Amino acid sequence: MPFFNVRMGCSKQMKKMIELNHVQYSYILPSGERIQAVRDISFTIQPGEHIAIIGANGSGKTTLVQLINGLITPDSGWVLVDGYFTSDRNHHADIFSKIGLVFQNPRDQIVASLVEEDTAFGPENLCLSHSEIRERVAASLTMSGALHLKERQTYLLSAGETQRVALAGVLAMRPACLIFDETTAMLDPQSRKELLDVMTTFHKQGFTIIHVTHDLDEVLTADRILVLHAGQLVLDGSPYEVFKDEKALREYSLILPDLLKFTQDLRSYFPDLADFYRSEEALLTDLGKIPRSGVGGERTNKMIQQNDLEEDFIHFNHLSHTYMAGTPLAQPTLQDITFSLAKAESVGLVGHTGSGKSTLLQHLNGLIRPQQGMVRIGEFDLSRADVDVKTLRQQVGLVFQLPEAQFFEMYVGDEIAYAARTLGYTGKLRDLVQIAMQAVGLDFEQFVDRPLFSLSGGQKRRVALASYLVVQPQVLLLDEPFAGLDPLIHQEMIQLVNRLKEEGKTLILSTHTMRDLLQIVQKAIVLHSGKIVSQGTTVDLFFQPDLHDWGLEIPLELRIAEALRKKGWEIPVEMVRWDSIVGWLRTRMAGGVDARF
Amino acid sequence: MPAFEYLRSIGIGYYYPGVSFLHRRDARMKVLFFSALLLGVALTTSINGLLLGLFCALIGFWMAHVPLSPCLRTIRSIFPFVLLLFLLQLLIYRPDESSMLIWQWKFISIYDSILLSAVRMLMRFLTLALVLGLMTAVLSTLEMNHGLEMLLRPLEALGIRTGMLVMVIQIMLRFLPLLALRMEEIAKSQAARGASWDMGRGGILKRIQLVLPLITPLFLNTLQQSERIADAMLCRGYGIYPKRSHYYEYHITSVDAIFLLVGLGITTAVLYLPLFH
Repeated sequence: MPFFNVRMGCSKQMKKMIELNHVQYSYILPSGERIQAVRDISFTIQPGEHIAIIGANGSGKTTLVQLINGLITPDSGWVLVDGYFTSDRNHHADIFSKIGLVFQNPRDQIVASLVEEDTAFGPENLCLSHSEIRERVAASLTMSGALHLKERQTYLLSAGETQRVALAGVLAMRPACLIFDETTAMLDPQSRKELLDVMTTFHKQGFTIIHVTHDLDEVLTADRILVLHAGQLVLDGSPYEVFKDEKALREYSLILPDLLKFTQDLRSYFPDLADFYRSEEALLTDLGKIPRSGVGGERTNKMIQQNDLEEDFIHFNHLSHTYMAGTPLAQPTLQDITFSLAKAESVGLVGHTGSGKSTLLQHLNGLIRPQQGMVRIGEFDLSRADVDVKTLRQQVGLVFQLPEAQFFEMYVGDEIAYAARTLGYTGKLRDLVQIAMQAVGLDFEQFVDRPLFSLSGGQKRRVALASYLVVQPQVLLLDEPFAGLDPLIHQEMIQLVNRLKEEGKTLILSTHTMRDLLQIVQKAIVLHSGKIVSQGTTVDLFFQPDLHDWGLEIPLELRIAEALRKKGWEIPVEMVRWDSIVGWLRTRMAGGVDARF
Repeated sequence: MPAFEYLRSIGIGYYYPGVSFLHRRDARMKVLFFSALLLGVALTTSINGLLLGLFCALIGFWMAHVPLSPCLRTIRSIFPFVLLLFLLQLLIYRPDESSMLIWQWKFISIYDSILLSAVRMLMRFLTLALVLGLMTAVLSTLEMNHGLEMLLRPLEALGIRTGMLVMVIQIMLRFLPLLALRMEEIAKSQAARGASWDMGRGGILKRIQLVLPLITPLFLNTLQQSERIADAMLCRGYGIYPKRSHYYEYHITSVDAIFLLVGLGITTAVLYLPLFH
């Protein structure tokens, strides 16, 4: 069979890890409608490459990943993994062993109730010997840094720990290629950084890495970026090639990574900076080389004026809470929480996953009642059993994480009207819905009768927000409102929240992303293991020595400002937003200072 | 109880890792031991037998160093329904001819045989709950699966895919707490928008009105989640080969054999201890 020999020899010589050839894939909706998810995609991935896949919500990233590891097979075209066609079921053991997929939500990946048993699941399926399974379990848990969790219950792990255990389960299959499908999206900064470090380490050890993500700053270290748009592969190149054309990116609903945007802005004043950096550290090193500034400037260390309003509208007094009290799952989630907030004030709530942010928010609209201590909001004392929760919930809107997962109506209008109906609004529901839709930037006529499932990710998030705004609450509690959104919609949602804040709503924003925090609030509370460890202005927050231990990080713009300050550019410390920092540089540089190095 | 912690009301079904005598027994022996005891408790007509079962379960909790309170709390939360059944049985059941009337007030008459069977039902419920609680506390889901799989293996000769059956049980057990958590999430998000989940009890119609909108997202979410977990299992090679190997090696020691014999002895006693009048 000469043909086979040639083929085999060829694939060995070229050593392709993954090859896609004119792959098409479409879903069929119950209505019979065909949705083309992947259109005519071809590319090759070599062993040991670090690939990033980016694209807006609904661009076909997840479908592509499933095609690569053989969970689904193409309608036409073919996918080859390490020389095996994914359509050939006889080789699925080889393909699944070769390619490890780490899911967005690691909990979806855990099958057993003990950690070591879960790690053993894959090798057991491969029918390996007892000693081989033992060896693999120990090795994989060590590699993912989860060996100390070996005998723990899987449902009692924190988010970061679950992530490691999920990774160990994948590693136990001894894959050559690891796919991370939006794995970093829901993690706090610290866990995210740890996971990215794990990826880098594995890449150095020779693994092929495929990283699917919305966070464009994460993809700059990749060897190659694949950009998807409406199911098509529209760009395939190095990070430099992909990000050089900002206009093209916009067309694909993408924006520049912050690192590159900041670099671009800085280059107007420091033209000797390179036009492309792959890491924050590289940019900061180069900023260390710019000449000291001759530009004088008073060093204004004055802090933002604190609104020392007498009135404490929201008040927590020594609140403690234990989740699942009295069961083996019992864990203290809040301990001795005390703080106050004035009306129309806004504050950010930060801290690692599981630090108690959501529990704290749920106390504010009575979903959780104080076990110990007191919570008061306006005239509502939540420690009292007879508090009027209905009226409270009308005034305090709590928007949950990924709120669109809880939709239950068919049509946009009904979903938005729900709160108004249940809270007893009568009469002009339609008007209320219209106002709410306007507030989130959805056209009433165009969207009110649309079925919810036909909306895009960003539109769904808007509907979710509108479904809370419809009763016009005075207080908005937002739990990770930007999680899982693609970059462009993320920006639009930040503007939207800012607009609501300016309208005078009291706002408590829980978030993992420090940049979002800086763009919306001036005050922040840090929760760590259920305790408040810091509260004050966001400016103060980033000068706290324990920041790292709390699972937080200093955002790049502040690190840039600090680097410039070291060089004599006395950017006031209260400038924490990038546009104000650039604005400051602009006015200072109007004098025409030479900042070459 | 907090309004939304549905998971909290379930105190039976937690595995407590440990190294006690019961924990260390061979998985197959434990499965057989507890299946026999559960069956005995479920079928016996002897109140003495039930008392013995109850006593053994309590000894078991003590031997395994497992706290009793979560289990008791679950029993307490279901207790009103059982009590209702008890009363119904007492009042509605008709006595046979040999029964003696022991108490009468207006139209209420209580006969000895009916009282006995109502007490038996109460005891049976209590003992079953405790034995079940003890079993799940000392038998991890994986142990149970492996135990069942090995015990059922002979059935494969009849063409029954026992491995698949056992996996279904494993996934179902892992899903139950998840389902409770998901329900908590959805109910909370609806309550935040005014649904009166935690605002006192309404009539039956009102409760149904509340539950209906919960079902759609719960169903959808669960379907999506089960699809994801099925994908995850496929990715980790499940179902590629007809057989799976095991992480644990199982050896039956003489202590295990004695353990099983004691179990069968207890079961026999539970079933046949003479009726106590």
